[in-house]
This record gives sequence, structure tokens and C-alpha cells, in this order.
Amino acid sequence: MSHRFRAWLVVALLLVTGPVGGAETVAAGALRLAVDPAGAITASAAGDPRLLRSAALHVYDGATKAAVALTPTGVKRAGEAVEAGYRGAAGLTIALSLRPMGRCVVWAITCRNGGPAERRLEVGPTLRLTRARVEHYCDGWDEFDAPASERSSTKLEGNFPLPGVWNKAAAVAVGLEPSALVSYLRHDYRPAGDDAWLAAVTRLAVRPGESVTVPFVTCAAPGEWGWYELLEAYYDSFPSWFVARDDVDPRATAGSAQYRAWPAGPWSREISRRLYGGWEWCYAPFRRTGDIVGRAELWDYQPVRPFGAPRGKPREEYLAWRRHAFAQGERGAGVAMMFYIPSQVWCEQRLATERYPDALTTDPKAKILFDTPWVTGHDDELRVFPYQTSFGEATYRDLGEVAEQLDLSGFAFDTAGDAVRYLGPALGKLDCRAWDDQVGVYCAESVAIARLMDYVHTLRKDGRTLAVVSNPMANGTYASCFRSDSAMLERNPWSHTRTESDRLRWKMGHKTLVWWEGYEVNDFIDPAHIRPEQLAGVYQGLADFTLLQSLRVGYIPTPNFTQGVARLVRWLPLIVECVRTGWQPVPAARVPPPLWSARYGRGLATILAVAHETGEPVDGEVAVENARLGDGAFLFSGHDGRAVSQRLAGGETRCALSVPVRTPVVLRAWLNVRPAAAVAAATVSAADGATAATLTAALTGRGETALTPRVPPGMRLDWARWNGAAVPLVPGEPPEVKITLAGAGRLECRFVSRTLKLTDEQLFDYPFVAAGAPGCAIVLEAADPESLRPTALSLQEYFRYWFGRAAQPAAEVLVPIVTSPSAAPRQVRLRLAAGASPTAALAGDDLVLEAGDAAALDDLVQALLRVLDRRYWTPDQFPGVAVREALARYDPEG
Amino acid sequence: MFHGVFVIMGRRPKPADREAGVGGRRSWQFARGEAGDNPQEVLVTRTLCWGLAALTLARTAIAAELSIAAEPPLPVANQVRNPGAENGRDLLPEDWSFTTARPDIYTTGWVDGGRSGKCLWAKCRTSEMSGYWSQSVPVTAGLKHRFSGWYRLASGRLMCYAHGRGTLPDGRTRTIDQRVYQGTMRGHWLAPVFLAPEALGGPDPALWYPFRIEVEVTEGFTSLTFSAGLYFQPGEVWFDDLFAGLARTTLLPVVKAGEGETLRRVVVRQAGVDKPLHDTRELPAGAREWHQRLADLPTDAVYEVEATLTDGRVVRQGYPTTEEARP
Repeated sequence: MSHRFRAWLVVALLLVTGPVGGAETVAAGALRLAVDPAGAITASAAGDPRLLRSAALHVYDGATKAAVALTPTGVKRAGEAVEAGYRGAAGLTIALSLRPMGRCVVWAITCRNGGPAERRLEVGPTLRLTRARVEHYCDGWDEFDAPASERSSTKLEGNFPLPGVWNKAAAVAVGLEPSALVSYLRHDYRPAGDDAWLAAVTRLAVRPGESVTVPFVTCAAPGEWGWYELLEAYYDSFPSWFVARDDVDPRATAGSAQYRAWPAGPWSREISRRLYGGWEWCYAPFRRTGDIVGRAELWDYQPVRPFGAPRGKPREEYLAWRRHAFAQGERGAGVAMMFYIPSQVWCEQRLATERYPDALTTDPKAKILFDTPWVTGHDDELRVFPYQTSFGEATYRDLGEVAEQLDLSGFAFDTAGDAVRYLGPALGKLDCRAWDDQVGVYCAESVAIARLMDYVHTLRKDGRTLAVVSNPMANGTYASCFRSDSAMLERNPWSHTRTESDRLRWKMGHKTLVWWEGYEVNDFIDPAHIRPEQLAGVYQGLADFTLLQSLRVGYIPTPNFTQGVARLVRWLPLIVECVRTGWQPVPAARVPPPLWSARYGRGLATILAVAHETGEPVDGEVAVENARLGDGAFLFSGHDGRAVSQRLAGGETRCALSVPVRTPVVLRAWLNVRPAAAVAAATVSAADGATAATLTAALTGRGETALTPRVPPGMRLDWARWNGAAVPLVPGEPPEVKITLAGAGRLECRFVSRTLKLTDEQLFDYPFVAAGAPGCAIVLEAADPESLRPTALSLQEYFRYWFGRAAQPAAEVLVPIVTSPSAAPRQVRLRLAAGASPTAALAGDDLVLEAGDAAALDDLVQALLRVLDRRYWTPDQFPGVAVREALARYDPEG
Repeated sequence: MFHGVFVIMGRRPKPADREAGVGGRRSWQFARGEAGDNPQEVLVTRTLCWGLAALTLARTAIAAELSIAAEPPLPVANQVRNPGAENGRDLLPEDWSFTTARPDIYTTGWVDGGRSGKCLWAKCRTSEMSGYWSQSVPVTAGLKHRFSGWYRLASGRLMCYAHGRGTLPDGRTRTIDQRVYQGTMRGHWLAPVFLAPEALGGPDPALWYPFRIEVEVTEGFTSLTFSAGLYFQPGEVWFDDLFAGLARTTLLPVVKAGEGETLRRVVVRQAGVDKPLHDTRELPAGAREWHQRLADLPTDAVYEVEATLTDGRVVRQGYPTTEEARP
């Protein structure tokens, strides 16, 4: 633990204990609030007790344009919460509940309108700061050095809902609790004299007799990593909004197939699998925008522009085509098919006006009509509000219906990030309403989209929750991003600015993000004059930049970037592993400029990326702040097992790195050392095989220490040796090793696959195909052999692809699938055996793949294919012939 | 954008050239400006020697008279104040102001290095906001106006536009917003580490290029704002020699044969344009006078009338004829 971090924790502990002066206190993380009997709130942040001075409730009346004078009515403790009441004029009462949640304090503000007229209010917490202690401010989008004048931002579309300030010692923030749905959000930073005020406020339209509650948060954190400290505190406090749901199809957290499976082609399965395309953006699978089912009564109409294929087909023919297309993608290509909807905020013009007039969105500042080709291309489309309206009703019914008809894995929400104002007749039924002086009371579109996403998460397929993948853009609302299981940025890594992608990453937390678009090199070059080698250089440079940015901010590059580009396909497994492990806002790896660092995961799952974007190699030391990662200290090798030497001191693991040009250095945690002080220096390397792996750590230190190694996925720790002698494994998950260090020593750990009971050589040399012909047969051994056929097809397809597309000359090789022992010299036996653990083992010349059920056997085969990719590797083919060879060879690391 | 419009832009002799006496022999460079989506600007540059001193009469023996007038006369008045950005003080150009909603991402200046003397400069470090040098200029309703000038673009994307809101007698409002964009990938922030500069497309950052906007000014407008700046991309741009004024003129050429002479053919050309604006072909025998009204011609062009006498002799006249009239 660093001295700085330890000192910060001590201060935090001192501050969070005990009530002061009869006040009721509530503390969370580094924040402490105390409410005195008069309802006044004092506040402090550990790390810098002078930064944060007090807090207050902001209540403003939109009709009188004045702050509401509040009279306290009492303060009481309710369990771990503190509750305070206030009374305003004309029947308004405010109830405030302060409750710790993780590292945040949740402010549940309830406004009750006991008066006879609707109240237009503005409410939210306000923090009073010592102006001189504020060094930086972030309004949820932009970062500023201590603003000298007021900064106010109303970007509900865009802002992370947590404006914050910080200095080197501490950071504090105020904002919305993630579940809060609002139609208006303003972030204010207002310096005044020696003070500065930080506020997050929303506007509410409260009907007579109605109570409206909005949950806000305040939090405090260390200051070193500034804005990212606050993001970390927020993510830690509300993890379910920022990590992948475990009840959703895990393919939704991989990359996108990006139209390699929509529609499916002859090589879809392998291209998608090899390029980590887990889910597909099934674009506009309907004829008429707004009618996603394709109902008979809505089918025949006159489009503004001619129908294209296949939407011009007769209804039954079209619906059959659609069923086939979804089935081909799901079962043929193995991709989770996401049914595209424009977040149901667009509807074909006549359908909208004739059937759903109450749903029309009429925001005078918004684009509400597309009279140019948009969703389907042949329709003009009007903007609609899909919640508590006739169109909302139809939408909810339709989503359930197509999900069942097409056995969907989820929905793809396009145009998911907007918050235009709905002013229509359904307003009377809506909650989350706000007001402004231009249109009066309204409800933001983001409320309807969020509710639609919530509804999708109530739908099930095979016991799993349907997924929401979305396209919110960088300036999408927090509400959509927080509810998305994964999302695309419809940009490439260099669109607009280097850091546009960061804003979306903040809102997605640890969840999957993918780049969309592609290289679009014609934006850069003059196609008429560029030479092929120059063009290849442009692609290579953009691929390298994609690699760096993918690791910096955690995006998976999609097939438009990777297909045929050897460099990216080599790095893709690691990028995907990083993204699925979870981007961490605080890198906890100090590096000198121009180096930057990024972190994925914690503890032994930690992966660190270090790189720079200059034209010369950079030597520098990365200092990992161990306390951020877990107890003790962590030791690292290169991601590829390359030896890394490191020193441990002051709570840091310090590695000297030489970082090449356009190539990241990635470190993987391999050993956890407790206590950290036991080890002074180490050199760690790993040999990461397919069926077994070895960790070697040369350690220098003194004293008893417990060492916990990272166990590679799918493996178990087989044995450990200290200076050549076996040492006992202390059972645990993972097991640890206890040794006594007395100077230098050498630890070796051997890991073996839990499932692959054969050697790498046996696996890679297995003659699935020999001399251009099938060398085996795939035998289905189960009571219901057909239950294993999809798994067998994926194995068959693997070699059909390899010999038919990757190998030269191409040959059609179809390993036969049989349901009874064949005459083939070798057999790959897919076998179900009740209670059997998944295993792959040789039995004579046969390869036996066994599991207890079909799903487990399929998982085993998919894992096996990933392993076989080491032997049968290919980047596939780049679409552009002029640079195909150059990009297929582009692999500067050899 | 001005796709397919041939624009003639003369490069003015620098003051130093004049002092050296170079200006005595007029050598004009003409550029075909085609600022489209990705033009390698100025594809054709050629020297056209008008021999202005000799244009009034090819031979002193010829008595034929050529006269050219125009409505409005050329050159038309430039309504831009301080068009060459030569005047200013306290590091700011007179009559120009720079506006953006995000001044923190812009650096601007009144700097040396113009086409001649000073010029306007702007640099933006992010894509979050546009920013423009601008001034309001008077316009005449019912007439087409030209807003033009020269830019040098090191990186990013520029936008120049003429814009404003007018009010009709019944109180309704109308807007004008006519734009031209030009982007470049040269100087892109990915170069040179990730992209080789020589592989990138866009105008040469060392050269000046013309831009041009034509606006039909409708009822209700008495002025428009002329703005030139960077459009939502990090970049750097310079502007010089800006112009706002009437875009169209009507040319009124007259040719009269001298004593004993008759006219065979008259051709009117716009410099730099191959196809004649007007060609009489063979005139009726004995023709002694010819005149024509040629409407809707650009004001930023140079015209030539060429008369061929029956005996084969040729007389030419250029218009406008003074150096100051050159665009």
C-alpha cells in the first residue's frame, strides 16, 4: 500500500466515525454527512477535509422563479439511513433520506404536492466547496481547470450524471443514482467568493396529491486519478449497472459479427467465431417501420419510395425469409441474433398518423420527420414515443411476439441515446416529467427508451434474459447506456477526436463496447493518386491505432477492422479478454508521459496495457499501485508469458519497460504475494500452452509469504516447486503456496487443463484431415444423436472453412458426421454420458469428447476450437484485393 | 461548394514584384478552382498573356472601335471592410471578429504570412465546436451576391458561409445560409506516427486556394454575415483577400467598324473558359456595327471581345482593363 493511499485511508476512517454535536451522521467510502436537528447538513471528504464543507437541498419553484423556503420538520435515524423532513409553501413537503450505498450516499428526495395546483420544481443536492481547494471540474463531459466563472451543463444527452471536482488529495461528486430516470438534468459549478457550489438538479412536474421521488448520490474518493476516481466509486457502489449481467447470453458480451451473419453466407460461422463476433446487428428485419411483427392488416401500403429486396416480397414469403435468416444466423453461424429496432422512436408516417396519433413527438427543437431514406429506405418516418401511448402498447406486444417467433437472443436498439421532448396527450399518464419555459411540461424520450430496455430484460429465452445491445453514440443518455448489456460506438477510433470514445466508455462502465464503421480510408486519401503500398501503409497505421485505442479504453474491433488484418487478429483474443474482464477507470499503474496505462480487472485477473502514440520507442517504469488491485502485492509477466523483472517497494510493483512504436506492452498478473513486504524483486515468466502451462518466478526477499498464482482459464494448479522441491498446495480457490524466502529462490507452478486430457502435440497433430481428405468421422454417441448435431456441425464447419478458404489451394473437405461407428480409420466421438465431466481425450486413434449434457459438450467443443485456432490460424481475407496480401502479412511482432 | 464552376482568380503581383518593376509586364496566372469534396485544387494553371497594352487595337491601322460596358460596371464594389486584413491594432484585425461557443478550444490571430501582408488565422484543438472570423456586409435584395476569398488549410475542415435572417413586410422571417466546406487530411493528428503524410489527401497546406459562394439575396435582407472558420474538427486555417459584393453583371459589348471596314464575326469570351460566351459566326455582308446584351455573367471574371474584319484583320478588347479590376 502506498504511503499516500494509506494516509488517505486513515483520514477516511477518522472521519467516518461517530455523530458530532447531536447531529445524525451517515458515511460511505470517503464521504461523511451529518444532519443537525435543524436539518442543516455538514459534509467532509477524506483526503482533503477542507475541500468539502457542507451540503444542502436545492428546491426551486419554476412558477415563481425563486428558491423554495424550507422549514425543517425533523431529523431521525432509520436504520443506517438518516431521514429529514422539510415543509415549503402551498402544501409542498420534502422528505430526504440519506442512506449509504457502497462508496456513495444516496439522497432519496421525495417531493409531495399537497396543494391544489401542479408544481414545477427543481430539486437536487448541492455541495459547498472551498473554492481554493478545487483544482479541476468535470461536468460529466468536459474537464476544466478550476473554472473562474459559472459552468452549467444541461446535456441530458451526453453527460455522465455525476459532475465532480478534485484536487490531488480528494475528489467529490454529486449526481443521479443510476436507477433514476429523469427528463431534465443540469450540472452546475458556481464559484462565489471563497466558496464554490457543485450541484446536480432535475426538474419535476408534480401533480396535486402526487409524491415524486428522485434518488441522487454524493460521493468522495481519493484525488490522484481525478475524474476516474469518482467513476470508480460510482461503479463500485452500483455494480449491477456496470457489469455484464450473468443471466444474459454471454455471446452478447463478445464482439459483433457486424453483418457477417446477417445475412449468413457460406463462411459465416467461422468468420464470426474467429473474429469474436458473438452477436449480430440484424438490421431492420421488417417491412414497415413501426410494425416489427409484419401484421397482415398493416402489410399492404404504398411506400414513399419503392420497396427493395427482400421487403418487396409477399408477406408470407417475407416472414419465411426472415425466420430462415434468423435461424441461419443463430444455428448456422452460432451468433446471438439481435433484432434491430430504432428504439421504437420512429414509425412509418401513415402508420403513425393514422394509428398512433397520441404517440407523435412534437418537440419543436427536434428532428421529428425523416423524409429522406432512413430505417427501411422506402418509408418516410415520424418520431414517436413508445411508452404509455398506443404505439407503446403495440410495441410491448410486438417485442414479445417477435422474440417468441424468432427465438431471439435479444434486441438491438438503434438511435438509443436521444432525449427529445414528448408533449403529447399521454403526458397525463406519464411519470418522470420535467418542465421548461419553452414547451411547459414534457417527458424525455430517454424515459421511454429506458423503459423499453427494462421490458426486454423481462423477456426470456431458454431461461436466459434477453439482451439489450445498443447504439447510443458517445452523446447518448446515461439511462440507455446503463441499461445496455453491450453497445457499439458508431464511429472508428479516430472519429472526431482521440477521446470521443471515452465518453461512451464512462457510461458503459465495465461492460462490452465495440467500434463500428470501419477504416473508411477514402476519408484520408486521394484514391485516384495513392499507390498500393501507400494505401497498405494507411490501413496498417489505422489498424495499429485501433489496437492501441482498443486497449486504452476497452473496445472490441469489429470485423470491418479485423477481417484479413493479421495484426489485429493476433491481438484480438487479448483485446476481447480485456474487455470482457472489464475496463477499470483507475489504471492504478503510474507511468511517465508520453506513456499511458489502462487496466482491466482486479486481483489476479488484472491486465495492464501500457503504450504511447509517439514515433520513437519510449523507456519508462510502470509503478502498479497494489492496494488498488487487492491485498498484498502482484507480480506480472508479459501477456504472452515473456519474462518481466520487477521491484516491490512502497506498495508498488515497479517494472521497467521498453515500449515500442505503435505496439502496446501488456502485463498480466500471475502471482499475488502476501505480505507484500516479503518480496523485494522478482522476474516472472509463463509458458502458456493449450493443454498445460507453466509459471516461473524468480523471487528475492525475506520471510514467510503466501503466494497465490493465477490459474489460466480451464486449468487447475497441478503442482508447485520451490527451488526444485515440491511444496504443498494450500487448498483454496485458487490454491496458494506458502514458502519462506531467504534471499533468492525460484517458484515453478504447473497448470494442466481440466478438460483437455492430452498434450498440445497430440491435439495439434491429430489428423482431422489428412492429405486433403477427411481423416476421421464425427460420431454422435447419445440417446438422441440429433441433439449433438449442431455441435458436430461446428466441428465439421471448422475444417470445411480451413481447407476451403484459409488453406491454399482450396479444397472442399467435409468431415462426415455419423450416428453409428463408421469405417473411418479415426473417429471423433461426441459422447454424452450422464454425470460425466467435460473431457477431451485420446482413446487409441479416436478423440473422445465427452460431457454430461449437450450444452456442456458444445461448450467443450467450442473451447477446443479456440485451442485449435493456434494450429489452424488465419486472419481470413481483407475485402480490398489491392492490399489483401500486405494486410494478411502485417504482423510486425513476427 | 461550387462543383463544376470555373473560377478565374488572378494572382496579384506582390508589392515587392511591383517595386522590382516586374509588374510592367503583366503575366497572369489563372486557376481553375473546383473546390469540391476532395479536389486536388487548381488542376490547371496557365499563363494567359493578354497583352493589355495592345488590346485596345491590334494594329494602329485599324479604325474599328470596340467598347465594353457592364451593368453593374466591373469591378463591382467589395463590401467587405478590411478585406485583406491589412489593418488592425492591438493584435486584432479591424472590422473582423472571431466568434465561437467554445473559445477555450480555439487560438486565433491577425498574423503575417497572408497572400500579401497580413491575414486571419484560426486554430482549433478539438472537434467540439466550430468557430469563425466574421463581419456583417450590406446586401441588395433581389440580386445575387458573391462571397469569396482565399484560404490556406493546414489541417481539419473549414467552412465559409454567408448567413442571416431577414424580415418580410408581413413580419415573417426568412433565413439565408449558404456554405462551402473544404477538408483536408494533411496535418491529421494521426500523422506522422500512424499515417505517412505523403499518403494523405487534401489541399497543399503551403498553398493558397480560392473559395466562392453565391447567394440569391431575397426580399427582407439588407445585410448578411460573412463567416469563415473551422467546422467541428481540430485544424488550422488562414484566410485572406475576402470579397462580398454583387455576383452577376450584364455585359454590353459594342463593335463599330471604321471607315471602309466591315465586320465578319464577333466572339465574346470569358478568360479561362474554352467555349465562347457568344459567337456571331458569319455576320451579314456589310455589317458595320454589332452590339449585344449578355446577362448573368460572373463579376469576378475577365472578358474579351474579338472582332474579325472582313479582310481578315482581328481586333481585341479586354474588360475590365485595369489592374485593380482583376479579381
